[in-house]
Amino acid sequence: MAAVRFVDATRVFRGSWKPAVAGVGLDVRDGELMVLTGPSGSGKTTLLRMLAGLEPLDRGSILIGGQDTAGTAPHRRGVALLAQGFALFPQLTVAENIAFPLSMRRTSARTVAARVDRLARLCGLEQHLAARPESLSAELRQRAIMARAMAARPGVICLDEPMAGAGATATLRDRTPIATLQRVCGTTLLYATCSSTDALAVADRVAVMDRGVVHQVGTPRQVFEEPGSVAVAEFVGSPPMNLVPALVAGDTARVGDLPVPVGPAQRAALTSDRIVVGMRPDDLLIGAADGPGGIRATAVLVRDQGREYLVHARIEVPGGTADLVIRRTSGPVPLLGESFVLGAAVDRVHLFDAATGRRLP
Amino acid sequence: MTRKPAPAARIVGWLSSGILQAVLLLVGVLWLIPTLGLFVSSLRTPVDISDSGWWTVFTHPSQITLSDYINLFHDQGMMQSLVNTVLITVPATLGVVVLASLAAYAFAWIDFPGRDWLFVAVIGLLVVPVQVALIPVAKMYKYTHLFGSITGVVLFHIGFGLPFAIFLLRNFFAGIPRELLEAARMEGGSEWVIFRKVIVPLGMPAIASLTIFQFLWVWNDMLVALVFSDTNTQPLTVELQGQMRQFGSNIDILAPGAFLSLVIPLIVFFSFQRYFVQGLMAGSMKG
Repeated sequence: MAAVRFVDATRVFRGSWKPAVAGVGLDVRDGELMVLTGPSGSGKTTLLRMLAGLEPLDRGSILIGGQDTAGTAPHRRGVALLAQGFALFPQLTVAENIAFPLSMRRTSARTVAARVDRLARLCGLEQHLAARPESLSAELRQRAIMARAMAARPGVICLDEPMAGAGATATLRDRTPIATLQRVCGTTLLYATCSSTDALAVADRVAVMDRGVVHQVGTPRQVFEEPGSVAVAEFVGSPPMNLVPALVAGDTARVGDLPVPVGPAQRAALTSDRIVVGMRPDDLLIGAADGPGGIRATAVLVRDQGREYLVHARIEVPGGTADLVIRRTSGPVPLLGESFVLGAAVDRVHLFDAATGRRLP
Repeated sequence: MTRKPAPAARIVGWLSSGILQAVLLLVGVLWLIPTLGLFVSSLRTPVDISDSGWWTVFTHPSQITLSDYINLFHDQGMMQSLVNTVLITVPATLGVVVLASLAAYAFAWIDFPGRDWLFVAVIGLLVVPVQVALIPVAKMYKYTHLFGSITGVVLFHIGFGLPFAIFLLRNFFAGIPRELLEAARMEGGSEWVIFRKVIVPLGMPAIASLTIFQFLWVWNDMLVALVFSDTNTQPLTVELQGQMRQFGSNIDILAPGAFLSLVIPLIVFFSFQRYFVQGLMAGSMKG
């Protein structure tokens, strides 16, 4: 068990002028399930590899349990890193997979067998020890991943995209055995995924990364309700937040004819008159009172999603058009090509500075 | 739009059609006839062999006898040369496979200064023909008293087998996913443990095919043995050639001897082929 602290951690790959990980400062509490999320290429994997000692630091430091890791060999850090696609080795059985970390060290066969037994019981794998990973269901595979991760009693577990390619269903994502077992064993877990849905489903806290930088760290609720930047807003949530450019005039900005109030603190934080207005698909209302105060829109795509409709609506914005996505769970749905007026819950609108991408307070 | 079957599927369909199979069978049988003739001859007496063709055995099965083989096993020279062949082939094969897999692991996965230049040098050695080394090595062997010894022949085979073996294995080992090796290193696996528990099991297809190649080359080699062995250490190939020259008609030794020298590599091939196929199956490393 150990807390992890990244201080200004930076990694620049040879032959690249742009750092893969740029000055990351991140505190992971002891026993926490921290999800690193962000689009692919955002530096999640590199950050995990730096923690494991497989990638050197060009600047900054990483502390595990308060100890600086500089100069510590990978196998002395107490970190278990399960790489993407290789969390379980396909050529080994489940038992051999769990035993793998132990078999690399000088461990007696009896100790290994006992440890494999205990982990199998803890993770509910007793019946599947002789099976190969590809014959397991997605749920059992995740149990096996956790058993293998815990085998050498690491202080920190790093999982890189453990659900990738496993054919995990939506229900499994909601109650993933990885999160459940992590809470049982209490080991600090860093979990990298490029699916924001998965991130919100399993995390104690989420760190949203983009282009090597951590944009926001917070509970799933914080990240979802108060995205700290445009990058976070457009990444977290499915379908993602609608982001529309607008100009501030006085104490309001206008999206179509919809006035969006901009408070004094927000105006003070602005670097120019250009802002980005963010509206969640759930917060847009079709068929608000006609006339001024709404956004004139035309339906360009209507998707029947089963329990809901997603309406793509084209609107006018300064310098062109933009498409908004509206989630409609009840009531009539516009037809393709139909024009209508959109209303929005202005108290639930998010404002960002267009130049810096930062959230306005 | 109708979907065309994939080219591979079409080839498979074509192969399983009866006509093609019949043609392949015919080619196979034709190709086997000389071997069969050799085998049948080895079961007939020299008198029968000089009197009539080997195919007459099908109408006169009484010709079949094991006397040639009994003679062969009582022939000191032949037996000694068979032992020599084994004494040359087994160490030459094992030596190349062991040394090359260790070297290939280092070339593929261990960083050391000058690694790439050294590997380029190994590649360069691939194109050195055996013939240019015969005289220098013969001179060297004379001074080191290895001339005419089995050790000398084995060392020569190892030396000339290594470049290709290293090249083959390095390229295969380099294709093993980095994640697997890193996982092993992260858990504190030493290079030796990684080699034994990750590289060798996953590299088995390449190691098995290298073993087959090397075994066949050394087993069938005549040039090197002709130059470096003497009458006491010469292998089966040289002995058979000698038998042919001496009398011309001692077919009763030649036929069973040749058949024996042909059957043992086949046994080796088929016993390793199993690993070969198994390795290909188990080695699929998709996550």
